[in-house]
Amino acid sequence: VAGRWRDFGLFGADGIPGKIALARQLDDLVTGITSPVDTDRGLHARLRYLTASPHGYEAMDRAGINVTPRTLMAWLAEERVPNAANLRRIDDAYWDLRRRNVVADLKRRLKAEGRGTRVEIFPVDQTGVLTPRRRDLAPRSVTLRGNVWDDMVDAWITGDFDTLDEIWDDVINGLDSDYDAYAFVTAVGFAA
Amino acid sequence: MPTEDELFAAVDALLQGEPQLPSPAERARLREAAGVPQARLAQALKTTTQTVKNWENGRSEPRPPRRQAYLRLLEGWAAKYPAEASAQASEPPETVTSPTSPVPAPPDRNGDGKPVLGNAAPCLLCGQPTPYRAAGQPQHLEGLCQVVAGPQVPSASNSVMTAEAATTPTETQIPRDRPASAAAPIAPSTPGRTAPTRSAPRRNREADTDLLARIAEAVEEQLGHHGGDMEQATAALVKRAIPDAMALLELSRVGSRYEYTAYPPLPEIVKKASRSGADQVWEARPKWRNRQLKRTGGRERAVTVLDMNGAYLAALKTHLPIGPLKHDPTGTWDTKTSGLYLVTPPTWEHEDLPNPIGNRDEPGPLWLTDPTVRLLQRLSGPKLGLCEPPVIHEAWTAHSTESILEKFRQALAVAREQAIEDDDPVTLEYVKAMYSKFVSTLGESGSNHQIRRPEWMHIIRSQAFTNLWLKGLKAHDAGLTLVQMAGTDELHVIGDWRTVFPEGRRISEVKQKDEYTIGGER
Repeated sequence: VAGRWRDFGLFGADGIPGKIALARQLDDLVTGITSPVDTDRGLHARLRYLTASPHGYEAMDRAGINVTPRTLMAWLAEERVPNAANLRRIDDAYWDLRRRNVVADLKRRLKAEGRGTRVEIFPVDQTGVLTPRRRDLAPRSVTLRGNVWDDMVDAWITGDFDTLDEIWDDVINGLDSDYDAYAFVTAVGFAA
Repeated sequence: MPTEDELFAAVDALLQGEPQLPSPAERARLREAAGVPQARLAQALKTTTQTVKNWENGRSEPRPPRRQAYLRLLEGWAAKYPAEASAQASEPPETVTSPTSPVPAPPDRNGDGKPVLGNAAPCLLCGQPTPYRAAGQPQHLEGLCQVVAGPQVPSASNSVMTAEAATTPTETQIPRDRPASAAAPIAPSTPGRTAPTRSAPRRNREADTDLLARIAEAVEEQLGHHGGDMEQATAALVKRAIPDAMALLELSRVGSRYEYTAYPPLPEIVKKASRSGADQVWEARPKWRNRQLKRTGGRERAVTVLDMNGAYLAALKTHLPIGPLKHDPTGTWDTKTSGLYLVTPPTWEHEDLPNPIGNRDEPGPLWLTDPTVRLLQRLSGPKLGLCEPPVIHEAWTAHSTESILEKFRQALAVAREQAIEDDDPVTLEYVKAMYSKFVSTLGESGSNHQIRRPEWMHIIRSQAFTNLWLKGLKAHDAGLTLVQMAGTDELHVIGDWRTVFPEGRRISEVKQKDEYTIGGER
């Protein structure tokens, strides 16, 4: 398990575990409706997306939207506006469903027909660390190919951070003897 | 059948064989006698000081096309400063130039040592227009004419013509789009059309052969695929311009010193507020009209609309931050870094020059990019003193270099120049699409997933605006009246602009887009 870097931050280094950075970057790759949920346009687009398939209703259930079909219809017909709590739940449900729906496409794009995707690793921020205690770290990059992307995306969608942690461990193990310094990072960058 | 390379080697040998350059020591003596520093010579020959040094200590020999230019210069100097007279040659003789002599005379100078400028007239030596005067006659400075083959200099141009003639029979074997830099000092050309002038200097030696070959291959492939239909081939090439530009960039970075990062974490200021919204960076796009000039009334005056060629291509030469930007709350100014600066701009009090930060309505500090801040620093310096220095409050910067895109830029510039010379609209459009789309998709774009550097996009754009601004200053200093400055490449001036800017389609040249009049009765 990554994290042999004990007592992270003891001398002032700033960063996040690699698994979190991976998940954040995957989050950033999901695009969708850009209008905020508290605008008419954003709300209506989300409701339409959520009511277009049975998966949408499941997503609303998971997000805790327990309203009668009548209310839902009134929202859709723009006769009534959801309260603040429900607006937040609608937004959550939308992004939850959106993430699930892009999974297959995301995997395909990240694997890129076997060419894989280059991942850039940005080391921890050491500006707060005294010079003698600083590690000599540079941004690194590795190209990940094949099933690792399937595993990563599956772990991310199910919120399985243990698996993400293992995947990150494998990734940095491929760097060199200094791999442990990359257990924590400021960010991980890739695109698909 | 001899191979291409053999033939080119043979032609090279012909070129190298005659005529002989003076010995390296003599070259140095001549240059010193003429009082021209190595750096100045290097600049004139578009090479580096180190190369000139090497020529003068025998470590290397100049190669065409510079060889011809250098030879001509040395011959000119040799006529002026013969070897035996070198001891008393410190004062140049006063009356060397008869109107037909190929010997360059010293330029006429004002009282303050600046060269006298007049209307452009054909140079005595090369026939190309020049504003400079020597002994009252039009002549390029120190005889450093742009080397355009002409009958005036028999020795140099004759050898070129012979070489040109020698290549012609082999032309059927040479694909037309063969990158001219490959092995040939002189590119094969369509017979009859451009052959006599083809020894004009081509800067392709500086460009990477592999990159030029890649561009030519893509064009040839698409032309072949569409059976020579230029319109379809162009459309197909423009469509694949983004991935091709990225592949070209990748290829240009092979063996380079720095590895840039494509997906660094971004500071909030360059994150877009929404998909179509803008971030907080002010690119200083010029949008200015000279308010001193009235559209009607007064004297009627002709305004020329000038167009800067390949503005974004030229702007790829700029200081780009290599790694992720780091926050610097102190606001110190370091020329070795580049990035974004929160700046309170200085007040601008020149009615006849646009404000270098563009027309910003809101007061207070704003996020400027590195090229704009560099420009403000320069304008506030002792030499120009046009404004107060900018006040930097904080910055997001990283160590920078000008060389990340340099090979990429040079290859595109050479390909563009060749396409213009060869009258090849397909390659020209393709190259144009590559650099313009590269710049516009560098940031958070859905059409380019291979890089996400919005700050680079802002910096390159600002560099283009800065370049335009400096051209405006140059025109202003030369006595032209600025009327308007807009967009990336548009400058409206009153006056004889041809004495200020060379006319043409190269990047260093400008072209006239339009003409209109202001003032007078309506």
